[in-house]
Amino acid sequence: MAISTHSTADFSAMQSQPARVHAAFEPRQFFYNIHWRSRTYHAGANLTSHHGNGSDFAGFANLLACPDPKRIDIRASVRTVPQQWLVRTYLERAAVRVFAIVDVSSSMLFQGEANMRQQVTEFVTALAWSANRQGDVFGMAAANDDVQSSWQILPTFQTGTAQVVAEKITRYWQSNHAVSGRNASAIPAAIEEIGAQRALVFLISDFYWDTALLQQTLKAAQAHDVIPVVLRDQSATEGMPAFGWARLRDMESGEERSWMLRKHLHQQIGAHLVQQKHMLNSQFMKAGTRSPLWLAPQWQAEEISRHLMETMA
Amino acid sequence: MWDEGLQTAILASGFGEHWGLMQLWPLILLPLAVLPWVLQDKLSFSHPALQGLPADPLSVWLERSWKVAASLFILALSMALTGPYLKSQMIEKVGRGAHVMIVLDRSASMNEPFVKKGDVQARLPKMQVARNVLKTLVQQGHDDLMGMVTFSTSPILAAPLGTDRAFVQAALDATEAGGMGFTAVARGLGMALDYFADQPVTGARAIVLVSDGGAHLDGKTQDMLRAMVMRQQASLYWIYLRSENGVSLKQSLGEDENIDAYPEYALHEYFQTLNVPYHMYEAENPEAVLAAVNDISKLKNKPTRYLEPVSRQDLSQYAYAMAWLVTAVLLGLTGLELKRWQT
Repeated sequence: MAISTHSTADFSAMQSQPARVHAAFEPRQFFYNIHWRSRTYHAGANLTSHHGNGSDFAGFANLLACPDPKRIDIRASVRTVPQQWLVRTYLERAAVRVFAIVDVSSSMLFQGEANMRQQVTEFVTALAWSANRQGDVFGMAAANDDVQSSWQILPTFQTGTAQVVAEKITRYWQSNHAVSGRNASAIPAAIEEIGAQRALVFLISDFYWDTALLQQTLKAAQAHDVIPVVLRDQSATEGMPAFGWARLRDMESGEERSWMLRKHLHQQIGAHLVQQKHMLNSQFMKAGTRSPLWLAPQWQAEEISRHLMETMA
Repeated sequence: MWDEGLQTAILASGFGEHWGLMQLWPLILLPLAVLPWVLQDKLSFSHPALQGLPADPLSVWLERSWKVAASLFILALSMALTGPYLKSQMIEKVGRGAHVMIVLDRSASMNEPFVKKGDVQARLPKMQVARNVLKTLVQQGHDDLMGMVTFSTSPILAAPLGTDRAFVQAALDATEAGGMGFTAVARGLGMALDYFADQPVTGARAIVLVSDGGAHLDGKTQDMLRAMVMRQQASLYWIYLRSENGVSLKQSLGEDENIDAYPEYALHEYFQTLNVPYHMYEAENPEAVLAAVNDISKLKNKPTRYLEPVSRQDLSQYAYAMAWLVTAVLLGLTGLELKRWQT
């Protein structure tokens, strides 16, 4: 496919470039699947629960109830007592709504070894592109302490959405590059704006959240098929300098911390990280989301596809 | 009300009385000491999520010591700039030695040598001999308090009683100008005794009278002098520089001699009746003078207690030392500090 060659070429070009925010749109397509039935009527690739002209066999119906002679099933009709004409019925395939809910709190602006903002841009753009290619609806919302209206993309089938997304996000990063002290408290509100109808929700955040916010968010997203996308910078926790004294300030709470980095402290932090990861996973599991997607800086569309397919059920 | 409180505080601290500041303007730099506690976020790295991550006691202490050191650095430098000092104070010292008042005769007869004949060495003026010998006396005995009064017709205070040796030496040098006039012993002694009057009795007191002759004291003067000597409890040493033709005080006068013709003898007799330790050295030549002075300088008696003025003391050196100390701490911490977060 033309798209895949294009994407690999762009990917190698990106690696050689310094990490910075730019509006270059790189189409990368990954595939997702759902295990539930869509309720929309717009033609698409996903299972629905309503009958129509799809290819998924639903059952038999009386010819009088479903007057479509070209689907008369003679073998099934012969076996009926008393004799009647049976017609095969099929389920329709329809589109689903795919949403990207992005956490744009201050911690997402962390400048570490990888450019977090660039990663968000790339992933959301690729998601918009993929949803568009699969004929699904794409919508987007972002929130820190408020829902960000500049990120708002109402559910749309329109082609070229990915380009619009890339442009919007880039413009946002350029105008808000170093805002500190913003939490992600409006994320539940952003999710609630999706509506009650079930949607595929990619929740993109670093998930450096307190438990209350996480619970609130997961509760708000209960109706939806949620895929947590965890974006964390390695240098903040794991790839720390081996030795030295550093003063740190939390980007959101402004909390001060002094760390005399050494082996002992590294062990403590490491243990804490493992515990934190366990806790996050178990909370996702309890809330019934899909297993979280830990996004590495140089992610490949194939890996994303694999993860989404594997964790479909 | 605040003014009153401030004034009492300043008074209680002894500002102006015991200590002071050379300059006041660096005091406005003192509030800069809060900078390390305020400017933190300019110095720290951003971190996405610290909540729940372990806090390390050692690191907390490092952070605190950095802040304290930086604050102290600013405080110490500001204080050093103000130039604090201790005002001149009196310090009580315990000295060994005596309070010695030299009473030097500067009458015209002191310009003459002991002998009229002989070589140049032998014909040095009595004054010069006495001066040279007294200088050695002044040099010895570092703990002695010394003073000097010269007298001829009337007494002149040359150096007040004190520890300042250079003063006495200079006063002795000043006697190189030739003497003149008569020998008014009583007034010279009176003046010397006056200087003991202001001093507490913290050591033995001695008056070293250097003269080549005496003078008649009338009865009133004698009584007054006696009373003064008694009151000041000063012992008296008389170095009598006898001229070739002078009377010797060691031999008693003959029956037929009139005591009024020998004022030295009369004085000697009077001194003996003073009821204070009195010693007379009769010196006919420079060597004898030296011997007499050596004798006096051996006067080692009970420890002398006295107050010595100390000139005002600059305290800014301590502030600078403090600044150096905290600079070392700050340098150490800076060396330890990470310059950039990523490896």
